[in-house]
Amino acid sequence: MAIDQKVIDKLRKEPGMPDIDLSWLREEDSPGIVAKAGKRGLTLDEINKGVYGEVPEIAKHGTTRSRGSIPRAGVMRTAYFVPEKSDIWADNATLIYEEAVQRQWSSATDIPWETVKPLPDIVEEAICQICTFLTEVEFIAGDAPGQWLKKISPDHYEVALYLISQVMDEARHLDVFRKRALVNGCGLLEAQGATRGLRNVLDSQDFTEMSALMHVLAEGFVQTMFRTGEFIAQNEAEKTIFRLCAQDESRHVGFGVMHLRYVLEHTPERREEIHHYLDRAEQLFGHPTDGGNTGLQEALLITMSGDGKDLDKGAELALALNKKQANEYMHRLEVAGLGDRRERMNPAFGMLLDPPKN
Amino acid sequence: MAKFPSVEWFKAIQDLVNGDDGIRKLGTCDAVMGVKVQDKAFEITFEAFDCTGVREISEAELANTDFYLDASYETWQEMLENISQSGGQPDRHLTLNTIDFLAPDGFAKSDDQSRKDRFYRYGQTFQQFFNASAEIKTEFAVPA
Repeated sequence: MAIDQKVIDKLRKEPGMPDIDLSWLREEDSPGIVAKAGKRGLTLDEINKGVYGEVPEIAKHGTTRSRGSIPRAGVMRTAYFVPEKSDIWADNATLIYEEAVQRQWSSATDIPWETVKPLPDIVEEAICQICTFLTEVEFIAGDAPGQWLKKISPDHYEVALYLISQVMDEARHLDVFRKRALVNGCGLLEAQGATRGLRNVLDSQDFTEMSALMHVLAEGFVQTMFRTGEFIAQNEAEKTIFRLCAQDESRHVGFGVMHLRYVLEHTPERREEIHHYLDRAEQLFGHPTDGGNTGLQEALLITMSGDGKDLDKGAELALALNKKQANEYMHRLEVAGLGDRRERMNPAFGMLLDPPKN
Repeated sequence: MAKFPSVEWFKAIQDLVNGDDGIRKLGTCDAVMGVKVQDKAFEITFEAFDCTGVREISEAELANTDFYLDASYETWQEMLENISQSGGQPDRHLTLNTIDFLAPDGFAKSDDQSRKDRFYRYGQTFQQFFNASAEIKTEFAVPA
């Protein structure tokens, strides 16, 4: 873009104006990239061209400087970021972020709340117990990635944007389950408390540890539960809630799987370390001595039985849910490159696995 | 009237959903969905806001899709008849998602769980795709 020298000279000579620097007007530094919108509009992938798309393996500065902008001396540092790209990256971060923005929904206006009618007490209470649990879970699911936002460098901004979209998703999940609990006269029931497994997610000291525990393990399990939710739903409002939440949760799982794959491809020496995180997480997740999930499990039995009368049917479907959760978890680990997890998976999950296909 | 399953049937649905505001409001969808009905197989491609391709493929080519829907002919017929009779609002046990949950081997199949997760990530787009069949007359023809 040409800058008329006369304009610059005029600005410099304007009476009463302080001396103008204008050193930022450096046409020669512009890479001259013109981004064009594609089928999905002007997405991040469309603007990540040339120098703007070159993601450094190491983020070397601790300032807010945006990737592709021109460095300036004397700028204050704002944070210690995770420097290595391989520690936080996932190749699908931009796609999932854009998808998250496109597929947002409103718990206030996109749920047909008018379809919620009075239910038998035991069914209403079971649904409200599930909602109580999910409200807590979603609070943690927003907190956990939120803790990492300040540690993502602007050089790796795609990951930060994805995490922000996840926090927004989790906020909406928290509010929609709270609304469902309060919309039909029952309200929130027994707090389940952050169980040991969830506390373990919050305590993660490493991004990949957090992502494997939360995105791949915990959210994978919750995604399957959401998919089941349509079956236990008593009305169109609940069906819609679970369908939309399942879509959101699938994005988070998708990020986690691709992040884990990236880590294992670029830093294969971390394999045993990651196994160690999962050893601990599987042991804590749904540990039999941890009573925090009792209310949830019993409420699921009731809702899966339909009306709370045929608990055998409820137990059969709950087992089917648990089997799907364990098998899908294992299959996602295989996709990520951690297929050897099958041999060391905690027996509580391992006993639910189908035999390997090959 | 279009026969199910056939390329003509899927193209009729494609014409209905492309440009439909309801589908567009659901957001972008990027996936290649396979459909297996007895010995017939089809590939339906979604890009951004549109269904961009429908074609018949061989059974072996289903492995190239992100996932494929596979159920007995009776299940397909029950699901589509229910969609038609309900005006595109199927009963909960006949949604794609619940058929998938209740079937021991699932409805959506893939050797790659990460690609299969696209079925769940864009679930409402695929449901809307099949719900659109309520607007056409379907002739059920068991493949030879």
